[in-house]
Amino acid sequence: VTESATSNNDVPLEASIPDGAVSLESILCTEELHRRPWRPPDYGKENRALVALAIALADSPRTILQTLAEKALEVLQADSAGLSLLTKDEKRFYWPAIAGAWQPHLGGGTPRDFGPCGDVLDRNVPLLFTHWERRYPYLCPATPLAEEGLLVPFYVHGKAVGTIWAIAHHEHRKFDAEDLRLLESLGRFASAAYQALASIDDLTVQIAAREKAEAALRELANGLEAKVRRLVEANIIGIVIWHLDGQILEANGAFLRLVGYDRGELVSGRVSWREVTPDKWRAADEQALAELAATGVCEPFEKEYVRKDGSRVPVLVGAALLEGSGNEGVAFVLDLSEQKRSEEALRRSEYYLVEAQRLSHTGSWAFNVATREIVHWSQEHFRIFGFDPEDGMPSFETLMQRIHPDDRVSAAEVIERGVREKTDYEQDFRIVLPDGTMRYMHTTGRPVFNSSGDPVEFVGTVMDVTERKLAENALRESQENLAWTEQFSLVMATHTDLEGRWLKVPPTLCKLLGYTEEELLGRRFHEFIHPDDAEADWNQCSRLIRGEIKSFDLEKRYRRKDGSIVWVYLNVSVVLDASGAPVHFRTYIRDITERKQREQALRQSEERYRTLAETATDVILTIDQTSTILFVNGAVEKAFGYTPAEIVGQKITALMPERMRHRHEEAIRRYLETGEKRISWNAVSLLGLHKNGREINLDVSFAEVGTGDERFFSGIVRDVTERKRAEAALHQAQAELAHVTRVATLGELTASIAHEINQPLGAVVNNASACVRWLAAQNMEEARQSAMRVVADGHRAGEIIGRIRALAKKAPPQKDWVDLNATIRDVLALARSEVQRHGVTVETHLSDDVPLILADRIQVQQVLLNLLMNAIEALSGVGPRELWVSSERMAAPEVLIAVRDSGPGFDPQHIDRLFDAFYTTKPHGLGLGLAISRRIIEAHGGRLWATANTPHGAVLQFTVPMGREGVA
Amino acid sequence: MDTDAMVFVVDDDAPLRESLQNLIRSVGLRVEAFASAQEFLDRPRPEVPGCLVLDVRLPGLSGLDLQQRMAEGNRDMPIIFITGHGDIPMTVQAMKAGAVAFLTKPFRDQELLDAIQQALVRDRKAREQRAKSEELRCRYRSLTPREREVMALVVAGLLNKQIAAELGTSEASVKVHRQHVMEKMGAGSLAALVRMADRLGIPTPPS
Repeated sequence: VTESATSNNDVPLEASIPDGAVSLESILCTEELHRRPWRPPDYGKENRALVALAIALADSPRTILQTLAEKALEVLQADSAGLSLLTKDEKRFYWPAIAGAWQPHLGGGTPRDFGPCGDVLDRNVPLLFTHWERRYPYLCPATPLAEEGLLVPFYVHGKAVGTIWAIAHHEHRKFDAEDLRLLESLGRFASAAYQALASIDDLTVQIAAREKAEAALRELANGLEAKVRRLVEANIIGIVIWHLDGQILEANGAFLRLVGYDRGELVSGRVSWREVTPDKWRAADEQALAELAATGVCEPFEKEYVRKDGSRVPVLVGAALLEGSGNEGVAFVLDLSEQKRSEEALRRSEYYLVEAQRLSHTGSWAFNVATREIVHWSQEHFRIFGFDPEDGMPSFETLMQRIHPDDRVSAAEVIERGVREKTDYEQDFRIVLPDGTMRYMHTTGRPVFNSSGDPVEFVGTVMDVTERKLAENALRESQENLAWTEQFSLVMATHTDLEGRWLKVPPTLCKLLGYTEEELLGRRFHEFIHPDDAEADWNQCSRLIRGEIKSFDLEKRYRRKDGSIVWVYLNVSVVLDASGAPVHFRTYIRDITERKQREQALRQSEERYRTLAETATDVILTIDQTSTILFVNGAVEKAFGYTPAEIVGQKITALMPERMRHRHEEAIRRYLETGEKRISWNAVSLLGLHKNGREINLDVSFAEVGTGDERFFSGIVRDVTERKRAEAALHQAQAELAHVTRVATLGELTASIAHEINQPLGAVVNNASACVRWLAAQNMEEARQSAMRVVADGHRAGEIIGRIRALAKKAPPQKDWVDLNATIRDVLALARSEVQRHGVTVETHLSDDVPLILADRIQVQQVLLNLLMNAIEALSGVGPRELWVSSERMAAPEVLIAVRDSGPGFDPQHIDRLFDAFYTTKPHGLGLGLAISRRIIEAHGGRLWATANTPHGAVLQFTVPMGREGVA
Repeated sequence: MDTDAMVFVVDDDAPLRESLQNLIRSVGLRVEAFASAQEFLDRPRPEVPGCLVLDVRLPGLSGLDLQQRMAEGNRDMPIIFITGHGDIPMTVQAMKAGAVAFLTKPFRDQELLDAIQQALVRDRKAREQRAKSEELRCRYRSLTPREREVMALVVAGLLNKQIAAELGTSEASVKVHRQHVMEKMGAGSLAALVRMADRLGIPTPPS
């Protein structure tokens, strides 16, 4: 079979894809198969085709491939269909069978590596091509040209050996997912057929070779039988060979599985094929047998088998009499269970859909975007729109005509917009039915896109919402009534005579008032009314009697038996007799105590808030979204100088300095547009403008109040000008105190300072004297050097004085990068004389890795000097007078400075008081040194504390945190 | 000014120390300066007239301590104290211990220079004195034991024959010994010999 196709090759082979050929992707559109709407599967047709193929295989194996092509053409309703098989050298495909328009090309083919079949085998998946000649020009002569070609691979022993294909030559025929399913199903059959053919062909050759050997022939016949069995065992179709008398001669595995018997039971003759058919289907069997007798074959028909376990299995059966036997035949049986189930499911879901549509008054529809042709129109839709399904799909125009004239234009616009913008739409409109009734419709639409993203169809639903609309209208009306009826939900109806005596009291009223019915009947209602309300009530009753009014409503109070008060709402009318004369009063009463209490609570609450607002010292104000002040309390006058009357109705910007106004307006605008808050709304420090033009410091908190479209902002504004002033004054006082103590410390250092200044001054005098003498001696070089020394000594004196002056100066705190080690050395230099005078030995341990610290240099010097002076003082009169000063970089990002001495140490009882102001152990001390030192260190974010030194003495140490940009 | 004299300065303040050096050099004196008392003590003393300009308050060994140390160590040298603080008890102590002057900074240049001059003169005299005493002792050491015995008795005021009796020898040999003593000691008269004996600390026996 595979080597035979050499003739009739009207398609030239080409070695390669020519230049300018389009890409493979551009001739493929496989994905579209699943996007296209597909037709429902027609299993009946498919089954009949498969059985026919099975019969053809048994009947005339040599034409099986052609039959396959024809069945493919028929089942797919394609224009051409056929098979391509790989030649044995695997260099090309040839076409052994073609049906339809391409029939003349039978025997042609395509190169293995440059053609659609090759592409399918390469990718090993089904492919849908469109105008493949754009890539493979050698297919141009293969006319008519293929609009679309659908190819599926088929396999033998797991190896793809060819394709089965269908071609549409016309634009209107588009393959879909169902076509693919069918072609794949046929492809599987083609695989089986190909294997069968190969076997039979081999056998024919062998028979020819050993024609003479009779025994061998039988042997081979047995071999054939074995091969056929292999074939049938592999098949998905149940195959059974039977005798007319009912005996089953052979059955394949598929058939055995179908009926649930094992081979022995069937083939032994114990079970006849008649027995596995239920009575109901016997007639069908008989008819088939008659057909077989007449024509040798019977058309496939549906029936059921009884399985061994008694259950039924739906099948499709086709049969043929075996040639020459007359009594024996073969039947091909297809299990329809799955198909029946899915058909049933489909039917059911369709039924559900129809039912759902009917119940929900929802119709579904689809229309073609390009042609405006209605392509789907559900049963319920026909009913809703009052069309007769018998008349077929209504046209788009007729549909539009049904829409209420007032809604027609807008409905069309919504649809067109949906089409134009490719978006879902949803709308309500009314339709007018042929009988003139009007119905309300709610419809939704959604575009269905093709592969290039253009909407091809719109699908959607339409729902009859008339009942809902009517209900809504009714609801609206009843809600209006409800306002009234709700008031009377606990209504007690009473009758009183024209004197006000109760004729009828319901138990609820008794309960309300706390009296029994007996206690109330015959008594005038006046006795039970709160005295303040009695007159008004009776006045109205009098008017009723005089006929001036028909009824009146009144809120009044009853006094209950226990003395408590209940509020009621009354509706009183007068009942007239036939002559129009009043007979008695009819009164509806409703207990409104709770409402009254609520109202009162609300009033009290309002009252409280108003009082609060009016008496508050903080300014409370409300503005609307245009920043107009709607309300402000009396505190505004004290803070801003305006009375509430002056400022209400003005913009809030009037209370802000000119330069802040724009920022406020911008912030409000931004917030209203985006909801974004530029600043926190809680305790913000802002500047305000007093009526007298002074700027004042404010703390402002505000919040949005109100709902919906009405947006208000309420704020609390506190004048903190005084507080700020007090804070500033406190800072000032503290700075001055620090200065005073600094100066006091310097006072203690006077002797030291005098010495420090004397040193360079002495040097100046000496060098200057020397200079004069060198000059006199005409030794100019020595004189020059002496003069230079004078200059250097002068500078040194200046530095010392500067250092002292800095300490004594009243300077505002100023932070700078400070080298703590240098500061320690400076302070030690200042105190050097003091150290020497007291015979104190100072040791320093200054760590090299101490970074620069952001600090106030003078304040740190003050602290160091204070600690140093305290230590020197502590050392006077003790044995070894030693003092250590150290600096150290700590793990926590801070520097530790410690001053320790070998003095007597602290009295542990007083260690806590060391840092108290005015605590001192010195006869002339102010007692402020340590208190201020601690305040200074804490202001730098550090700590200052005292501990005992070992073996004796004291340690005063402090930490200063490193700045973030601290450098070592 | 003496060109061979040497002035020493001890002050821990370097600029001041250098200014003192400069001033002293400007009047043609040789000067050497030290930052501490110990440094000064460590330096071998040159055999020239000298004086010490000393800061009272020094780290470690103080000025007064140094003065005491020098007196004990027989390294006598005139001292001029300088100080930043006029401290009366300290001044008294220093002067008692033989200080030439006690100057309070800042002092006039001439005050210091005069004090130095005075100190150098004193040191030279002291040195001359020491030199003379040494010569005398040298001469005394050249006497024989008998001559020393004779000298001691002569300066005690004994007559030759008394001496001879005392020593159990003849008056004539006493005379010879006496002659030798007078020559060796270079004494022109008995009175001169008596002064020498006094300087040498030769005890005069009670008469």
